[in-house]
Amino acid sequence: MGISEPARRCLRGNGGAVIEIGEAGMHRRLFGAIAGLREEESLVMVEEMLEAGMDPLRIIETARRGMDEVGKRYERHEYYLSGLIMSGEIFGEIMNILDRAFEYGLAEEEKPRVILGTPLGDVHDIGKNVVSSLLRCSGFEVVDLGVNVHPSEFVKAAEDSGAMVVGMSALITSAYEAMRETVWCFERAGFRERVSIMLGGGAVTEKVCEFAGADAWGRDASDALAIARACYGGEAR
Amino acid sequence: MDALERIETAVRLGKPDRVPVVPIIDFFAGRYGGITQHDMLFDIDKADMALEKTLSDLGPIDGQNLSYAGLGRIMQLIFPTPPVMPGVRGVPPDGQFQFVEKAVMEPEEYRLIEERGPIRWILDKMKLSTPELGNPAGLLKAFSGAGRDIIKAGRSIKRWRRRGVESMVAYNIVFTPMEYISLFMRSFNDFILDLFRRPDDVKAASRALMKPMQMQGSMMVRMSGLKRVFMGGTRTSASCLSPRQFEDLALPEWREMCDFWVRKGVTPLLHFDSDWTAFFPYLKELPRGKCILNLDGTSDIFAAKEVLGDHMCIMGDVPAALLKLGEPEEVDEYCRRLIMELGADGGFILSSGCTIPVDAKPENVKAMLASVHKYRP
Repeated sequence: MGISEPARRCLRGNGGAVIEIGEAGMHRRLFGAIAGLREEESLVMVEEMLEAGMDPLRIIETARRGMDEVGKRYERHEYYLSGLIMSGEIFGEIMNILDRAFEYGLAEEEKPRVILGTPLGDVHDIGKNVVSSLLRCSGFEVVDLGVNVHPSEFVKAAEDSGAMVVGMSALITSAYEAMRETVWCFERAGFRERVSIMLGGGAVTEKVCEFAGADAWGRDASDALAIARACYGGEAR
Repeated sequence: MDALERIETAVRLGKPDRVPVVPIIDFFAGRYGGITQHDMLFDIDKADMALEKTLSDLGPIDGQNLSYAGLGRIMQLIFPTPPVMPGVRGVPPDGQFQFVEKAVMEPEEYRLIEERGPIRWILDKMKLSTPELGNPAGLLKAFSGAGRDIIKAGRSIKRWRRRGVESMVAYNIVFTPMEYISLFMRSFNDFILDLFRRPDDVKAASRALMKPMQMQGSMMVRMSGLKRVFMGGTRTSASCLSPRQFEDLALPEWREMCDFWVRKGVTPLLHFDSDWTAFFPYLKELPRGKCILNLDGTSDIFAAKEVLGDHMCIMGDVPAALLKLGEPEEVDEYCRRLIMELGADGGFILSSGCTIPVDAKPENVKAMLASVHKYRP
């Protein structure tokens, strides 16, 4: 298979010599580049693998395994939020390359869905975005409603998407009431039994979870992932 | 001891007659005192009356940590990304003040800051949110309005000091360049990506912005007459950066900034939100007995005492959720633990974890303020 100069640069070993690798080797290198948060190398590898005629679905699978490894390193506290954000960016860029490679786009497989949003009255979104990155890394599809989200929007999104998990993240205490109102909205709509509602963010504790009538709360993105997995019976990843 | 002596003793790692209590109380006092958040931010006289009622009903304090009371106009002016401001641009008058994540700078601009001149570049960015700064008349109007508010705030500080309430930092708010870039220029997400993609550009911008940040702080210290500065830290915390990124990019800034203030005889009040626990050992590189570490309830304040107790004054950290949803007995118990464990050998100031929430239960605030009189380590 032909290897372009940018890919050669990425594939050089310590001694500067090009390492000749086969298809399995390319997949291993892509996995390593994503898990090691090496953006340029990851993207060049994907372009190169497509040029070499490799199966895009296998490329996606390798990229997912790389993301999965990032998630594990984050859970083991070897990576931090910054690494999680970077890996989410790399994965998004890889998917864009793969999408462009197909005239009609890639057929999306069915994935467990999670609705995320910052409740009404609160415009902070850092925590929510980090949870979103980790969930996506770990095989979930995230429907991100943004910030200052009205309770009824959460219900509508859950209804439309069929998601079984709804997550709300807040940094200010005045969002507690909006969280509670959102839980009530699910009850009034007759949806409460169908969804698990989790809370997170700097201002959230066990007490807040009780106050809002939610099902679970988390201190960080790892907790959110564990809750989402538990709600889907260990699915995803 | 009076309030100032009590605070200064704790800052120098000594043991005062009792633990001082210095919360961020402005938002809560506004609501409790019956005025809107807009009035609290834009009318210092009303804000002072609301605070007076709060302290008269709920108990005295030794000082106010950061306070935005009467400083709304200045907040609108100095932040390139305008915060959500109660009573402004459609926000309800009793809404909540919040910072907004919005990028107003492209990644290519890092290298242009030095070239354009950092002060001119900051002014360019401020004009995006406050276009009137673009003409001399508008500039004069904006700064004279801010100047009047600063004079009024100065009078208020003196009035409260006469009544035994020390203002810790007034409007002396300083950022390290990276915290500033992340909060006001690039937004958190983009800033984090920049750290991976163009760390040298971020470093160059940091070097260019260091002096203007110090100049701005020095001007505020001179105007307020208070030799303390409030330095917010969130985006370079252990929640966000890897230790390697912190060592390489953020720690040098924190060290340079703190050394600068300490050389000038000014005490940095490091208001560190989110989790800094894993980075506590690095803070030993800051000058001993000269800084205050103010935690918001997310970091492990007891670990801070273990690691840094003989190095810097610890301040904190009654959590916002506890003050809003807890019971007075729970607040009392948490404060007792803080006072007896962290205050046992001095070097501790009791404070709210970040701010006392606007909707805290008054009886919880009362329990917090009373605890320093009830428990004597």
